[in-house]
Amino acid sequence: MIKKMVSILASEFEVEEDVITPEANIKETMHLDSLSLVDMVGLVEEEFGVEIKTADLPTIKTFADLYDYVYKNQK
Amino acid sequence: MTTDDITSLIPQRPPILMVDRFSYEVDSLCHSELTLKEDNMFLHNGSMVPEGLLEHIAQTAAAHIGYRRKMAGEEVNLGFIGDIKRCTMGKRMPTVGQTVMTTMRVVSQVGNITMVSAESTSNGVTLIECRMKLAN
Repeated sequence: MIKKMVSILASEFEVEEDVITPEANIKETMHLDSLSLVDMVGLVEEEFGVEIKTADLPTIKTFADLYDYVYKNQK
Repeated sequence: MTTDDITSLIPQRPPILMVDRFSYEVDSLCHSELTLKEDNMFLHNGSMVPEGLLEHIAQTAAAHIGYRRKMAGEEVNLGFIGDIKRCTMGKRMPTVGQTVMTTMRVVSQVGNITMVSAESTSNGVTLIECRMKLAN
């Protein structure tokens, strides 16, 4: 799951895969603003079937947080 | 819910109104229609220009958001197109008298930013497919 996530995020947000490390900050690494954050949420839902609730977003700061969230919420 | 009273859902008014009929299916899915009249602002030599289709999709998304806000007892407010992606246009544009039918799905929503995917057709032919982000 992590390999697929890294590949998809790197491609969508045009960053090198090796900058997407577990401890890296998501917003800083992928240069996300409030408009592009919705792209990431949509991508995770489409590719992994996991809806990230707006209220949960502040808890997802690093890629490790994102992997954990997807893992815990995948059906 | 199906309505012809679009002005209760979006702030746009004639001559810029680009949705005739709106159907709310579920939280994440809706449909709309627009029949092209001769006085439509987005016509050139009798055919709609691409910007007209984009405005039609944006107003469809706005009506969807407006309906949800109305049901929640909130005011319908003005929205803005934030981004358009994965946009493909058909080879032919609709002409006066034709009806544009649009199906729109909410892909994701974060706060007041909504990303939708939409497809507009006329007589079964795809006119445009795109993703659009709206801030409201």
